[in-house]
Amino acid sequence: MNPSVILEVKQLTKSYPNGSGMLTVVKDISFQIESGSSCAIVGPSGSGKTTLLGLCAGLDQPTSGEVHLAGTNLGALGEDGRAQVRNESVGFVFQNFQLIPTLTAVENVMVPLELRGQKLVRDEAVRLLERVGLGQRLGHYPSQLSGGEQQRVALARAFINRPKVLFADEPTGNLDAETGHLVIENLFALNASLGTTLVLVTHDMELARRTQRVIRLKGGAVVNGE
Amino acid sequence: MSNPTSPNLLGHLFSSWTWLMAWRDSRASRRRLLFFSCSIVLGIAALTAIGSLGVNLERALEEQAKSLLGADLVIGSRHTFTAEEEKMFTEIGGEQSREVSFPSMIHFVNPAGARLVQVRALDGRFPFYGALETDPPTAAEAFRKGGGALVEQSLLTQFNAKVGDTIKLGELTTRVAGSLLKVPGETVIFATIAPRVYLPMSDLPSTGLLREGSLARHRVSFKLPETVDAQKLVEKLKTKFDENRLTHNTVEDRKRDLGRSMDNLYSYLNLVGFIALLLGGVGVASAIHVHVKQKLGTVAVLRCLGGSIAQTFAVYVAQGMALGLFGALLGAVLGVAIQAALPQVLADLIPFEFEFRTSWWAVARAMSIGFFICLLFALLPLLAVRRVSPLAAIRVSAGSQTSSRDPLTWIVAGALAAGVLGFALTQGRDWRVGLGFAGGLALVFALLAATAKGLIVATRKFTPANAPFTVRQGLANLHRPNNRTLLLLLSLGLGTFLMSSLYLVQQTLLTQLISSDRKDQPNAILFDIQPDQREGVSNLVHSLKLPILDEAPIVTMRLNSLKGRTVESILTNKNSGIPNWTLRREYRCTYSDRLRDSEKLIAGTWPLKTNGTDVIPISVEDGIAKELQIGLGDEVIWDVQGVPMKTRVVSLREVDWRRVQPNFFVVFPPGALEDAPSMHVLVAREIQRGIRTVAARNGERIPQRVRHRPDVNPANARHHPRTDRVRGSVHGDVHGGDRTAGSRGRVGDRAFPARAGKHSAPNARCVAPADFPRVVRRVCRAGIVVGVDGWLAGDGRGVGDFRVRLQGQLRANRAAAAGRTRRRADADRGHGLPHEPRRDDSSAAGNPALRGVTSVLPAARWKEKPASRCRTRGRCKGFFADALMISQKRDRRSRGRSSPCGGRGPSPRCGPGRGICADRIPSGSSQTLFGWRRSWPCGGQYQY
Ligand SMILES: Nc1ncnc2c1ncn2[C@@H]1O[C@H](COP(=O)(O)OP(=O)(O)O)[C@@H](O)[C@H]1O
Ligand SMILES: [Mg+2]
Repeated sequence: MNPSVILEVKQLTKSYPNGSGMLTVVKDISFQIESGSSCAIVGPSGSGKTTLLGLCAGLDQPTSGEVHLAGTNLGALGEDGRAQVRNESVGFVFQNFQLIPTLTAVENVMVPLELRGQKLVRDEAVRLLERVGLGQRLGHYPSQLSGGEQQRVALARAFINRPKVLFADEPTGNLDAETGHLVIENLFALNASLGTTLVLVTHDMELARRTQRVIRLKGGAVVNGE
Repeated sequence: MSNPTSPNLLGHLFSSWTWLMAWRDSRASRRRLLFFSCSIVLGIAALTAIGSLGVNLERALEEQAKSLLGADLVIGSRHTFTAEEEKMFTEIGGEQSREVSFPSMIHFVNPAGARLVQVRALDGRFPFYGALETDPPTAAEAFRKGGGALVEQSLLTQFNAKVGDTIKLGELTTRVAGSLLKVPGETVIFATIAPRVYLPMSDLPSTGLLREGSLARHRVSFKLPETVDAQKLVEKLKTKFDENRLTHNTVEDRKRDLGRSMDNLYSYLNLVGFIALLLGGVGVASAIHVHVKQKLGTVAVLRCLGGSIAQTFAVYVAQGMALGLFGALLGAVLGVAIQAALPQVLADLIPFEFEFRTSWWAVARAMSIGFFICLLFALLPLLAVRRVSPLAAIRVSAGSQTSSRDPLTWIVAGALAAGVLGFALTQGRDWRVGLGFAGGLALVFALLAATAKGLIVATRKFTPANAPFTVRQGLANLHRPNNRTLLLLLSLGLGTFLMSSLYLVQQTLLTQLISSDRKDQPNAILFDIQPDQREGVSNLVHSLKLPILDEAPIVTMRLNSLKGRTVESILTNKNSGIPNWTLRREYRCTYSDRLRDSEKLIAGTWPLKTNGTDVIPISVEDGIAKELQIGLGDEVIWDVQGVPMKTRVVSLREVDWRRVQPNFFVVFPPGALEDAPSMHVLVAREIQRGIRTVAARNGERIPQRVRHRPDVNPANARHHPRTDRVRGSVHGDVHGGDRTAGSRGRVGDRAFPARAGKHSAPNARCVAPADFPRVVRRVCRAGIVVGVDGWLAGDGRGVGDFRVRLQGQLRANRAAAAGRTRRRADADRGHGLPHEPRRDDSSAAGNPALRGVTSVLPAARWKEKPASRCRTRGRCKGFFADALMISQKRDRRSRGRSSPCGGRGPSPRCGPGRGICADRIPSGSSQTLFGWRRSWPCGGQYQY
């Protein structure tokens, strides 16, 4: 395998039992993403983008096929093993931010490092928050932040563990255009400065065009591997 | 791949981040969690307080052991000690103190009043350990030097009397030297039933209450030299004691008995505490369940960000532990506070002083029990944290695996069950009870779970589609995903179950001890009513507007033979397996054709019918039948006051002995015993005014008698005009039912006064506890016995008739048998009794009950025979019974009915024959509150 390939998906299929038969949500998808590159997965709603993302990040297990992430075959790992890969190599940005409501902004950002057992990570978290323009909001709880601010906190959290791959699932889906724009700018800036591979799920073609590569999905299958 | 964080739950629990995260994560729910942790506080507080109490009691028992008995060794007897016994006492050595005790009436002169009390004449320095507590304190010594009597404080209060007042005991007029506050080793509760009055022994003769043949309890207390071990001494002398029917009591015995009572009390209270804790646990589980539901999103995010299962789980376990710890701490603090108050609350129940000292061991124990129970309950819902998929962070619908498939759920549930079982098993002395408790709990749990599941299925299937929106939504909430139906049903149901079972247990314990406030339950029993007095007594009771709830004739008899084997032969056979008391006891039987509501026919036929043959069908109580190893169809020959009677068991009954009403081991059919000397009991309910009304009213009718006859006294003999032999006795006819494994709480028999003879003057004997001190009222409303010795008409006709007719019948039978002249002579000799037959012998010939009775003791033999079979065993069982058990010896004239004698064979004290007593009128029960049964604090010392 080409060492520059950070994410490789081979004949990936995911089906759910559906009444009598099986509903195949992801159909026999294969692609490779090189380290440091950026890639958008686009497609209409329900086409299986999120499912694919979940599989790539090891949140779920495929019905068949393989996912190699950062040189590790995720299928060979257990739940905790995949968690560890995520912790070391993966960053997440969710459509609905997914900050922990009982933690302040800075505490939320610290979590990925703390889960590793690292201590004294506050400074790093503060620095990242400052970079996304939230240096004044460190002690605020998610409920005290706007959607855009929350998503920027989520960005800081996603980058704090220096991930090899950043998965972003419609990061602007829940934001208005202006706020979304600011978030995207932050995302690309951090991505560029840290050299992270970006896998961005979106149905915003404008946004998709900013990535090096676009994978179009329809009905769970790749329509064009550009 | 190496993980820098520790891989397992335990490791994570020692990680500071886990606790930090737990703390941070709890931010929004801290108050709520703390609030819910309070649900275990009460349980832990109870366990703490009770545990500490137990330790305190044990220590006090150890420290005060000697003063519990007041002596090193106490030997008791129902007879005056013989010369041989006195010799033995001298050999035992040490310092001695004597006490003679018996019930009698105390009369207050001004203001006037009378009450049954327990008189104790004391000689010597008893108690050697501890002291009689009196007010004024000097009275405890002063009264011994002839300074008057010590009278129970409650009694003085009741009669508005004070120190220095004049009282009369029999013929003795003396004054109250002091009020008696406390006797070492005795509880106040006991004293409320039979208030104690101490007299110096030197005053005893002048009371005139004790005469030859009176049954009193004699005690000699020893203070042994240091070098003598009381326990060893008792072992050495045991056979001698038994031969002479002496009871013995050492400090060790007393300690053991009290320890056992304490165990029962302690176990019961502990169970209460534990139930409270379990309830709290259910509350905690319910709260945590909600908490976890709210935290699923956070958990998913943590997993998404790379937290391992154990790591995220540890965060929430830490929260559960903190909750348990907080609850335990708060509970312990509360418990220690409560425990400080316990000595006062229990002061009246516990026969010794005990001082409060916090037992840290008990606190630690309660805290750890509470903590772990709480944690286990919290773990059940917490386990769901482990099953959260990280996918839930990107997809809300990502469900978690159901709990029932998680093996850990079963492990935790198993641990919880084991904990409950373990606790239950360590509480009682009987593991079966513990098993029953835990099993019952499990059963209820299963039932509730099944109900919940059924409800879920039912609402899913059967909600009508056209029902209103609110109904459909409401019902749908019962079955839609993440419903809380099971949990709510379990927590509410289990809570209700535990509370109601606790309430039931309490009620059961109380009703066992107490008669009842219910309208239809008797609270007054009039006994010793002679057949010819029945009407008069009934009228009196009616005139007082008391409902007569039950009435029963009573005929006393003894066993002669069982299934063809004589009682003597069974007694000599040590391996018979039949307890002696069942063979030796005096059976107080009735005849009836109706079942009482406390009785249930369990085998055979009812009603009993005399079928014209010589064998009379009888119905036997199931328990005693088992003891006697007899069943349906077995033949039993009774010795009905000298006359044998052949019977066959045709029916077995179950009897609820706890009822305050006459109950009987053996019931005869009507038509068999009518002519036998009998007495009647009458059960009534005094509605409002209290038993005192009866007593008072009866008192109104008998003032002369009281004044003129110092022997109007249940303890005393009645001086019969025609004989010099006067005997009175107080007789605690208590058999050792509780020694029989598995037997129902046998209630101590209440022996009823046998009439001394018939007097023409009306004379009512009343036993009427009036104002019970608060303690007793709180614990119980006691079943009261009112004895009416009624209108005694003095010719003993009833007895004579029966006996004469029997004798005639026997003679006829014997005459029919050839070559029995010698026997006939015996029979004739037996005929030479004070009562000459007034009826013609032939009048008995038609009595079917007697026809064909041939296996007859020569009549002459009944003069000695019954005495040798007399029974005096009895211990402090029926608590109320003891206080009120009254019986009288027969005078010679009606010796056919005889007395409960000292059981020491033919002797001047022990007249022939036996007393007439009701068979086991239950006393409210010996199976008392907290199961203090065999060892009610009186420690078996007070038997009459
Ligand atoms: N657990 C599941 N069970 C059944 N079907 C599912 C499940 N998860 C997702 N799907 C289905 O898979 C399809 C793809 O969903 P998703 O990946 O969320 O699409 P997208 O993110 O492109 O909108 C949808 O039709 C959805 O209904
Ligand atoms: Mg999606």
